Amino acid sequence: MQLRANSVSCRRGERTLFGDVGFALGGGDCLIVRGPNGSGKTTLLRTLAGISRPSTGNIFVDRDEVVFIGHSNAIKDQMTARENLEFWASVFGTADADDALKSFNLWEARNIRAICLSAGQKQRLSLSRIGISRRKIWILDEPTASLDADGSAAILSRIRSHCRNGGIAVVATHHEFEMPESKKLDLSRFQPSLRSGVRSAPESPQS
Amino acid sequence: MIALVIRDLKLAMRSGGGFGHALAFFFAVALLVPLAVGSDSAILVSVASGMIWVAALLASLLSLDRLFSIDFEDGSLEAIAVSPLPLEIAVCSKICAHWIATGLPLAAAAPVVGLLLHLPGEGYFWAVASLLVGTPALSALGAFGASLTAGMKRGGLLLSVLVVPMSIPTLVFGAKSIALAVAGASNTTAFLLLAATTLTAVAIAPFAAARALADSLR
Repeated sequence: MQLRANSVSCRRGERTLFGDVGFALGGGDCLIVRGPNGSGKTTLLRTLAGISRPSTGNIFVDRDEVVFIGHSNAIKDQMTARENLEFWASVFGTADADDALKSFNLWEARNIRAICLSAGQKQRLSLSRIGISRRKIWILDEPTASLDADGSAAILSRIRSHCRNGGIAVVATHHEFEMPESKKLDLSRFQPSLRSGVRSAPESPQS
Repeated sequence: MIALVIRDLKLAMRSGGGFGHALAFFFAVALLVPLAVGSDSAILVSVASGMIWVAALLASLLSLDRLFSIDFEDGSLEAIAVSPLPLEIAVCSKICAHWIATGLPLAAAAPVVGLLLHLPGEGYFWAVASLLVGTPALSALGAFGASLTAGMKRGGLLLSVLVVPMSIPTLVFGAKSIALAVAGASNTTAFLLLAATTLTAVAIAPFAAARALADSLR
């Protein structure tokens, strides 16, 4: 199992977000992607997940092992937490919606319609897709957004134990992640130089 | 695939008016036409078969706007694109769910609408049959149109402009299937051509729509 990016660059419209990004991850590796707003973190993650295509360069990954949790939570407000997860469980062909609810601390809220869940609960519900998918390569965009300290610590320890068990994780975040063993990728260092040779200033507020 | 159909039907029922919306519109047209053109039976009979199909086509357009755009906005589509479910199959499920929520109720309601429009006795069977056979084409072509406008904020108008021309053959053969039967002529050719438009649309639309959706996610 591997996730390899070979001099990948991505554009959004006319603007090149980043160029020549390369890394190789094997089982047990965790990559923390950082960078200011607009530096292309989300675009890089969507590209790694195979949703977008890189403008240049190649990505080598087993698509059947990838699970991607993006900004949008893919939750249907009219369905309960459990129904939401049961749907994804049948899409991924697994049957452990209840286990995922328990392990993401949502068991008490299982029969509440998602529209009544708090932002943090929704985020945990969205993240529980990684448990349901049983896939080995986790691509997570701001997983700790709207989570409290306990929730953040829980997801952090989950990522750690996933990597310890030989999984791969790519995490984009603004927050400090206490993961000494992880690799770091700072996207601001891959922004294309302007014609004058000056590095382009980070643009905001688009991620 | 079945999970997605069930989820969509559940959402259609819970989001209020998923099932009823198209049906209410269908009935509204049937009520308004006699008021507008007069209750003269001869005039109504001559327009009944056409009106049933125009009303059905417009009614099935109503809910298309949300077919993919909601899944696009809330990230479901993105998540499905990275799941074991191929987008083509997801589109098939969406077409199925849309048809069960709109096409099927329209076919079931056709006799009542026929009554309101003074449809002669021979027409009832063919009204139901032509809607049963023809509405899957409307759902499939609609899904293709909806996939092209999924990423747009206000794609409703463009969607109608795209889908209506594609639906013309279905409308013509559907209405003809009823009209010829009412006139006592053989409608076999019209009905078979109606079935052909459905088969063509259902065969092509999932692939075209899946491609359009994958592009809109990029």
